[in-house]
Amino acid sequence: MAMYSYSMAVFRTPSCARLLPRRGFLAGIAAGAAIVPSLARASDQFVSEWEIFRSRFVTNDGRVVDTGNGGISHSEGQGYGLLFSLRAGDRGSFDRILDWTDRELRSDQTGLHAWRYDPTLSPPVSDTNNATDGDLAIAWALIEAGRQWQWDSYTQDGLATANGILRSLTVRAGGSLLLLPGAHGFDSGDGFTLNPSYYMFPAFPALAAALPDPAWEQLASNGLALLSQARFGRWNLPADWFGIDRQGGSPTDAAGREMQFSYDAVRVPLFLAWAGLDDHPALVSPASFWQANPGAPASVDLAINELGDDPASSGMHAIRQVSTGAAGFAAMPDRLPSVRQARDYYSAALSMLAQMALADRTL
Amino acid sequence: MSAPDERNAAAYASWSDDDWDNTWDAAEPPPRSRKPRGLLSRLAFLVLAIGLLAGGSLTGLAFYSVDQTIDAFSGTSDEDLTRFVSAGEVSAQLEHDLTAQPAPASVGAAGARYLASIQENLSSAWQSPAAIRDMVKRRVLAPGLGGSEDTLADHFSRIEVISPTRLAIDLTDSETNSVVIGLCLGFVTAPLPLWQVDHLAWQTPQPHC
Repeated sequence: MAMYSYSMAVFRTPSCARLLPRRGFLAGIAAGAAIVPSLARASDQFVSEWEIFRSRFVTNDGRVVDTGNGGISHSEGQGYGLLFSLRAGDRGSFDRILDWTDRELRSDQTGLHAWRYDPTLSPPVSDTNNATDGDLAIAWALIEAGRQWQWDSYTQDGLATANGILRSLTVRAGGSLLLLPGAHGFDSGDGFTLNPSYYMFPAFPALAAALPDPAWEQLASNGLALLSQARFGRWNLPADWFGIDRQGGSPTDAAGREMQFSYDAVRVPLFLAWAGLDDHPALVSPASFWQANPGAPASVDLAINELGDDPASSGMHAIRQVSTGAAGFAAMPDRLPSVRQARDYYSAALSMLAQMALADRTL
Repeated sequence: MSAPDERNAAAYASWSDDDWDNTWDAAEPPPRSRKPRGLLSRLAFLVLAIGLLAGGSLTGLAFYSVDQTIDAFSGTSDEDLTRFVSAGEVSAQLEHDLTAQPAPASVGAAGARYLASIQENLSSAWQSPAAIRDMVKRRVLAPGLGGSEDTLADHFSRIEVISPTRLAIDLTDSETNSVVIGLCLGFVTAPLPLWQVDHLAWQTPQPHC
């Protein structure tokens, strides 16, 4: 098997993206190795999509607005904004989003970020707890930006966030190292509540390269094993949330939360496909479900095996196309639903993420 | 120290003192020295060890006997010393972690390739004292990775990693800058790290701020 390191892509502007060689990456793909994503390239189409996203959801001072949730912002949106602007080579927007994120959400003590900002409240950040998906996206974007733009403050901030993730957001259960959804509130004493969509698998190789610690490999390995078990209902789909006891036993439903495959869990197959984990059960099962139910709605109740009423968003359809293609149930799409078609921020963000995943798979 | 495999053993053996970039003050006893312990140190260590082994009931006495500024060391309790014991366990866990583990069968072929790519990215760290030091330090300070719920860094100004399995901890209250006790402990792997403490030294108390 061909082995290769993460640090192989070179920075390029969008206009010359197709001209520069991708050392190592192509060789790895050709040899059948796992996909190791890079954030260092962008097609003209992606840049165009980013410009639409930016105009619709990013304020002049760098706040990414969740238009589907009353105009709040959160660390997830800021992290995605950083990833998208980095991929598009838009450093001005990257800096504006980063400045706002640092100013409003970041804790210098922990390197983590408050998960929610509501401009209608005073103060806008009423809960300093973090959300791990946001912190992973921010850490990944900062570390990659530091490498591509040769800017050490990005790197140092990214390393601090990555360090905070390992310090505060990991927990041992039985023999496994688990990723907590946040620093507080997910340990009941008897067990833990987990969110499988917070396992951002394409980010782990980069984080491991930047902040070497076997904990990253354990998080990935244990996470993959756990997600293969944590599938529920008639269609064996991943749930938005599930519970696990302190001994790391079989996953169960999460107390106080509905057992659903919906807005959170839809990212599980996306991240698996993005990382090239095409035969993972948590990708194959949703892909099989979507193949059989191409018009599936936005949510599935896994407790009673019933489909929800709300139609899937364009971003969800983008993930469906990438997932069914990755799992081999359909051809990989040439194009995905545009950000222009998205009803709101989250649908647009899913569409952008799917486009990044598709680009990493096809290059 | 028992290295996890030949690769790591070779790497550790090649490290010099300079590699570890020890930044302790010259006035303090070098943490890696193996000078014969003085009577006071031996006695204090005995009290400390007995206290720990007895569930920590005597550790307060050990503190108090050498420094009357114990009250400034707010937040410090028997639990803090218990954490030092766990440092050995953390290092033992790290040794285990540094040994490449086979991918679980449940992750599939693509999963195995993916995990191998991460391990490849980590491999350079095994040769780097600085990276090893950061890992040990992170684990001592991390609740999830084996450390304490309340971070040592909240209380202590300096925690240096002397080697992958040995730490030196300066018990200076970072908030008050009051040296309650200067204690350099070299830890070795579990299960009884304190039996193999290499050096113990008391530091002269400093005035309160």
